[in-house]
Parts: sequence; C-alpha cells; structure tokens
Amino acid sequence: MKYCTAQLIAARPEKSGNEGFIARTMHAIQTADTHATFPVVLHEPNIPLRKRLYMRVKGLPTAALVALIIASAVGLSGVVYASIRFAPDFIKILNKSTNNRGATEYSVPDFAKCATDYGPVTEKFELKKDAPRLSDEEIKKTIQARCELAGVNDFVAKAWPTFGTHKDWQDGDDIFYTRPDLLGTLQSASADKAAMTYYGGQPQTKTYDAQPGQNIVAFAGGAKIPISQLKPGDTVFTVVRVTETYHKTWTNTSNPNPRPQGLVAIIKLSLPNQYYGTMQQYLTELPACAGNPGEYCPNTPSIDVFPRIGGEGATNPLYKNQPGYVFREVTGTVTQLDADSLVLKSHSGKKYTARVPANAFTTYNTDYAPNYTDIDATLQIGSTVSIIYSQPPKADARTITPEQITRINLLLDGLQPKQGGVKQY
Amino acid sequence: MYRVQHIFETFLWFDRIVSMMDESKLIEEVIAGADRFEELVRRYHVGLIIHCEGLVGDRDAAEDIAQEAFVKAYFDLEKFDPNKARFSTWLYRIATNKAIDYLRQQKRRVSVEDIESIAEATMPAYIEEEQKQEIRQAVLKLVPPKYRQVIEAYYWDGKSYEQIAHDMDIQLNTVRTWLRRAKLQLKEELK
Repeated sequence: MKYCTAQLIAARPEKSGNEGFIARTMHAIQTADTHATFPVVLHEPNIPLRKRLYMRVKGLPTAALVALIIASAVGLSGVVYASIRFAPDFIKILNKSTNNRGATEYSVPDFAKCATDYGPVTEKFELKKDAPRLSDEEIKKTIQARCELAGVNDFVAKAWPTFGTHKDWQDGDDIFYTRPDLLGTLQSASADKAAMTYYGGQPQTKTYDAQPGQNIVAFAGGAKIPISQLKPGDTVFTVVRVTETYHKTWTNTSNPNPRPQGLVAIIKLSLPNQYYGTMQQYLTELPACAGNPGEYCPNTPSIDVFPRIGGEGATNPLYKNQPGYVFREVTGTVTQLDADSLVLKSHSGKKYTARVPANAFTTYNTDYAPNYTDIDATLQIGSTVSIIYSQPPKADARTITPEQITRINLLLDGLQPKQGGVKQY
Repeated sequence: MYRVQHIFETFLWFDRIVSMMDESKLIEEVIAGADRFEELVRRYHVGLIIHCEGLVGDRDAAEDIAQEAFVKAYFDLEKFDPNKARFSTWLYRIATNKAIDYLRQQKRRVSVEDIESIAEATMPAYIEEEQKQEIRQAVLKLVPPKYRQVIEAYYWDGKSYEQIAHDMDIQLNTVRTWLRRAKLQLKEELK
C-alpha cells in the first residue's frame, strides 16, 4: 500500500495542491527573511543576493542596523500576537468520563485551534488520582491557562526568534536571545521598569529594568496595549533579553552563564495566577500514542522496567531493528503478570501481551524496585505501564515479542508513596 | 524487440536526467535571487505533508513541520549539493529531522532508527509521465465516484481528513474507510 501512496503522490496533476499551505509557507519564508538577516549580518560577510533586506540595509552603520532590526521585530510582534485571541471562556469541555485507570478524563478542542477556532480534533487530559476534587469550571480554566501559555510561548518564539549557532561564531563571542521568563503578579510597571511578585517557594518581589535605551512593551487580549493599562495584581508573563558567552564545544568549565539584559515585554494573562501554576500539577496530558492513534499515552515520569541491566536507560540486547517497521507505543493497566510476560488493558480496552526474557519482571521486582525508597515501584497487577515497540506497518499484533520491545516503563503517576526517608536512586 | 526496449529505457533515462537538470537550474536561479522557490513548494508540498503526517500522526503538526522544512530548505539552499542527492531526498531529510525533534518534545523517548525506517519507506520515487497518466486514468475509473473524490482531495489537493469530512459532509472514519478501499481498488487496477 505504501508503494501505492508514493505512486499517487508522484502522479499528482500540476494544477492541484493546497493553495492555503503554499501561501502560508511563502509568507513564513518572507517573514523569516527579515528575522534571519540579523545573525547573518553580524557574522557572515558573504551574503547571497537573495537576502534582500540585507542588501537594502548593508550600508547602514551597525547601531542603526541593530535599531532597525529591533524595531522590525517589535513591529512584527504586534501583528503576530494580534492573531492570537484568548478569552477565558474559550475552552469547552467536550467530554468527561472515567477511564480504565479509574481517573476522570476530559476532552477539549485541539490546542492548535484553541487560539483561533474549534476543530474536530481533541486533546485529552486526566485528573491525577491524588488531586483534590475540582469543579468542571476549575478544570476548564486550568486547561485554558495551559493553552494560553502555549500560545504565549509560540508568540514569543515568533516575535523574538532565538538565534541558533552560526559557523562563523567564535569561541567567547557574546550572543543574545529573548525568552519568556517569569510568571507572576504585577506590582507596578512603567516604560523603563516593572516590579513583580513570583512564587517559586517563598513569594519574592523584584524590580526589573528595561534594556538600556529601550521601552518595555505590553500586550493583553491579543493586542499591544499602552503599558499604563497594566494594573497592580494583574497576572503577567515577562519576556527578557539575555546575553551569554558562546562556546563551540561544551565543557564543564564553559558554563554559558546567561546574563539578563533587561525586560523586553510584559504579557498580561487572562486568569488568576493559580491556574498557570499550582493547578497545572493536577492535570496530566493524554496525547495519542505514537503509532497507535486510537490509544492514549499519558505524559508522566516513569521508571525503566525492561530492559533493566544495571541502571536506567539500558538498551534491549534482543531488540532487532527491521527495515520498514513502524514505531508504536501503548499504555495501559496490568491485568495479568508472570515472570516473563504481562498483559495490559489499554485506554481503548484492547489487551496487549508483552513477552520478555525469563524472569525479567521478577528480577526487576526483587533487584531494582526496592531501591526506590520513596515510592512503591513494584510492578504488579493494577500498575500503569507503557510499552514502546516496533512492528511491520500493516501488523496490529497485540502480542509483542522481546525482539520488538524497545522499552517497558512503569508510570509513576498514581504510585503510592512509601513511609520513611527519601533516597534518590 | 530488445533494441526497442533498450531505446525506450534510454529515452526514459534521458527524460529523468532532463527533469533533474531542470530542477538543478531552478535551484541555482533561486540561490541567485529569483523568486521561484514557490515552484518547489508547489511541487513537493502535498507529498511532504503526508510524509510528515505518517511520522508524527497529527495533521496540524505535520503541516507545521512541512512548512518549517521548506523554510529551512530555502535558507540553506546553498548547502544543497545536487551531485550528492535529489532535492526531494534532501527536503524529506530536513522534514524527517524536524519530525524527530517534534516527537522527542512530545514523548519521553524516540527510537531514531525506527523513525528513519518509516522515512525510507515513504520517500517519493521518480515515475515516468506515461505511468502518471496510467495512475490518473485508474483514479478516474474508481467506483463509486466518491472514492475518486477522496483520493483526489487527499493525495492531490492536499486536504486533511477533517477537511474532506467537512467538505463531503461525512464522518472522519468514513474518509479513512473510503481511502483504504479506493487504494485497494487502485492496487488491483495497477497490478
């Protein structure tokens, strides 16, 4: 069937195609052309002709050039952000149910669309088992906040692109980039400084200055706003410019030691602070499993169960990488467990059997699980496990052999803490 | 008969070389400043999106990755060496690397070897004009005609399953079913 796909694509008539995609791509190239010029101008004297902006401005003195690029980036940022509209009631919970792990699960519109409009594709979230009882309204706002932060990150990345490495950069060069930085509560803000309180452990209030010679810009509700419209108590996200020393090769002594250069922008968020912070820890995202689109695999920390030779991160010596095989992942609850096999029931209710070499699971439970002194890491019936494996593309075999397994992991979410001391292993 | 076959094959080989030369010339012109990169986007975008969709399993992400790959290809065009690879191979490699980065961000672990094997299986192949016509004819003959519609919409117009479902007012799963059945018919027809 894959050959059929390749033939169909190759036979596509010239006049067909996705005009919207082509237009967006060409626009992205033209927009990126403006941004890409900056690092090139600084470090590469042999500019190809197609770098049109550079050709127009290359006669300018460096200071004027830097000012021009910064002005164009700030100008563009208004345009980009204006296309991202956030409203507190934008997210809707499409479905709420109890899944086979016994957790409450929520479906919401695809995050790619939460900043624009709804589409049929959904994202799934699971309320953690140890989370407090939360109302649907609180869940909705927490997911909305996550979506909003994703949108803000995307906006910052597009408006102030982070520069990558360049072949002409020398060891010891100073390079700079702009990044989203602190989430907190605004105390005061003016064009040249802002004070805010943030909550990493004990609340701390600090004042941050603008970059030398630059004004801090402000955004809210999808538009650039006068900074005077920001009020004490607003939940905000700051964008800062940072300088660090470039090292071609990383060594223990070449710590880049980022040095903040000043506040670039303040973005006012739409919800109270707790929805971006503490409430986020109660929800686990459930993305579709790689290679198993009908299944969902929670994004949670995990422990290697197999292979487990020495520490974590071992490679399964039996694994055979076959050309053309498809990488798949499945997560579920263990319903049957033997020394060399387990059966898990997946999110969709299907049963998958994973076979491992003799006593692999017993060895894990006796030699490795007891080392985790803070949690009960025993593999047992009821544990949540993820299996990463590969199979021929057409196969949907639910018996997975040791040669197909890349990794079996025990998910930490939902594990019971042990009493007593905490030992890092 | 052998001679006729040999001449035919030589012609096809010549045709392929001419096609590659056209593309190399186009790339040289883009590097020199011509606004012709859109022709390359037009030529490869549908296949590249489907390739990325196969790798990451998400249409929106696939379109983003394909777009980023075109942007990177545009800015790195001077690095492309037509003597070492076809442009499509190079472009698909860029997209595959971006897909791997995306999967790494989304998941805890990714086996690069596995992803590479998918990439190899979906890399586009050169086919002759005559064969293209044969495939187009086979698509036209698909019964019922709705099968032809979904094939054209997905593989030629570059529409997503969701968009096709919306346009044809059918369920998403129906799109998948019709595409699968249409491809089975095509496979038989083109045997």
